[in-house]
Amino acid sequence: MANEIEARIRAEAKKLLESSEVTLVIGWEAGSVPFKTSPAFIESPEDVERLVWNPACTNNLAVYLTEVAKRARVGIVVKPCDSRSIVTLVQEKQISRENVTIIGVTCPGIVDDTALKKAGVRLIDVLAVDWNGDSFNVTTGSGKSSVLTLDAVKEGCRTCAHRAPVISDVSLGEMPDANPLPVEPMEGSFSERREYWANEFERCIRCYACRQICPACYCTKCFADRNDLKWTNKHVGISDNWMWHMGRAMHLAGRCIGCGECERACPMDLPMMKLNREFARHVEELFGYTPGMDPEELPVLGQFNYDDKDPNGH
Amino acid sequence: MADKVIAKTDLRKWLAGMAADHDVIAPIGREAGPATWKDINGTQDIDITANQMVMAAKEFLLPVHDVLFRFHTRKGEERLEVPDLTNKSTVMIGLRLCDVRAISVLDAVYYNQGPFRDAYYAARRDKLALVAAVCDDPRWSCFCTTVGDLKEWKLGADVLITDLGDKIYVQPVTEKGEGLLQGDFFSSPSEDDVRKKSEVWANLLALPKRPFAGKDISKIVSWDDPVWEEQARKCIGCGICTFMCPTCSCFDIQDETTGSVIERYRCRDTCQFSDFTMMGAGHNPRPEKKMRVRQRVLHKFKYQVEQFDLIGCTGCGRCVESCPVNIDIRGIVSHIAAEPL
Repeated sequence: MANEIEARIRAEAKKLLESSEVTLVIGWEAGSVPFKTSPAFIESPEDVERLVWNPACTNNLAVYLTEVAKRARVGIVVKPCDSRSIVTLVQEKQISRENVTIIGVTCPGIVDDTALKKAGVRLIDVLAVDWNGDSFNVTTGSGKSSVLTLDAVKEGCRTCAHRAPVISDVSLGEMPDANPLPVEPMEGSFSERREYWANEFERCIRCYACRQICPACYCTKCFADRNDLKWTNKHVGISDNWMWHMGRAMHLAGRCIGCGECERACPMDLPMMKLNREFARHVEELFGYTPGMDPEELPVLGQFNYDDKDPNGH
Repeated sequence: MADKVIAKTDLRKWLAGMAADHDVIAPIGREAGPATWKDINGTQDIDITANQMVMAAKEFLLPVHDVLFRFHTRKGEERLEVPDLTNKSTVMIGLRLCDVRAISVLDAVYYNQGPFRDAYYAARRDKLALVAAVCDDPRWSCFCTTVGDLKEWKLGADVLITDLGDKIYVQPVTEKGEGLLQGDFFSSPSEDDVRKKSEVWANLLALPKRPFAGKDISKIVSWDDPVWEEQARKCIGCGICTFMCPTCSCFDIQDETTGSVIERYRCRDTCQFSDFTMMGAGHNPRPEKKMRVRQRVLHKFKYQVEQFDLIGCTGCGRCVESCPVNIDIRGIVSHIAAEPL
């Protein structure tokens, strides 16, 4: 399945570049090791052979659009979650829909190196990772091929209910079977949750990779970087770490589409998706809103209705 | 100085013995994220030779929050408080040879600087003993043998340890190191132990080398190589590479006021942030991402080579493993070596 889609991605990219409809196609290319891919920026039709499609295509490429789609019309290959990031960017007027040509691919779930490690795979032995119907094939150097079930997906994919892109100009792939896990409310009492998160945030080294990898974090000057009005100090410690993570999560409430890239990027493995999902669950409950579905719709925090529920019951 | 062996079951006795006179810190695993350098006191689960992801040794030598001084401003009680720099001596156990090399690079910047020796770094470094493990199971990202001679690097350690299965082969390198090997649980190695230890070394030295091994990148690298722009397009500017790097040690100095106390501290900074070079008047000499991507590679493979005659990269692979967009310094430098402009 993957190889056929890969060929079609290349053909579509080639068409776009040859017709000069776009000057650039953003996709994924082979990484420096078989279990990783890397974002690819293709400007010439001869280079489309570099594009790949496999379970390691984890990067949400919409993160690059705010910079490049302002200047020129670009093509972009997206998974369903990435397509929802594009919707958010269009809704929030960061890019114009006319400036992006979207090659959308259905997605059974992504396997990143954290997921592989959790499944007990020795990364140094991996030769290839492929989809195989409703599971993954991991081929290793010893000639063995182990099959991982779809439970072994990247954290963001576990609860994903959107397996086909919500907007696209070309759509590829068949609708996969998927059984997303339900999103449960965060467990524990207030003080237990406080203790849990204090323990997690303590690890943070404040590299801001979670912000940099996030397509929705596009502010030209982040609140955390401001020193004319200091919202947070550079102090790596619980108080400022807490301020950063709460600020990040609050700013993404009703906007995060749950791709899980923040958690993947985090070198300290902070479970940021737990926070993101909790905020998303509240927004869904209060306003019946799922982010990143319709480019014509107003963002949930950019609209007001008299019958909006008030969480404080007033 | 004589080599010794110790049964793994006696390891805790050795650690406890050292802990009587020293702070003993080792990589301690957490529920998630890389292992971190913590005091072994009260920790049962110590695996000093496990090849796990470990925070670089700079976590101890240059803490992420390093208090320089505090200034108390309450009226009538004004005073300057300088942190007590008379540390107890510390043993770091479970370093790798790349970590030992990284400390040599940090020494060049913070320690071997004549009258400008950094007092805070020196206070920790002076009383530090390094017990380093010889890797028997390199990670997928490792390339130490490409950037240096491990037989030279090992001289920076005080003790070398090699995992032989049920026992550990222990080699003192310095007198300070020999002083740590006290106790009747040490015995002389058998011929078999020596042979096994040599096998671990042989396997490590046989680690495949990258195409830039032995090439002086500082002489052939170009500022105008298109590789900088290519990589910069992928780069999201997060700086994980520098935060995880064992030799990246650029810092920022911040003042923070809590009540009547002003604290001045050092914290991490990174050349990958555009604010890093931003001047007060608004000029930024390194405004483009491609310049920042280039800076990281050239600092290690050119500037530090010219300044200290040391490659600033130790091949530990932390940046390779952590980069969320798979920018792989091994590929960049291989390209420079293969196709210099």
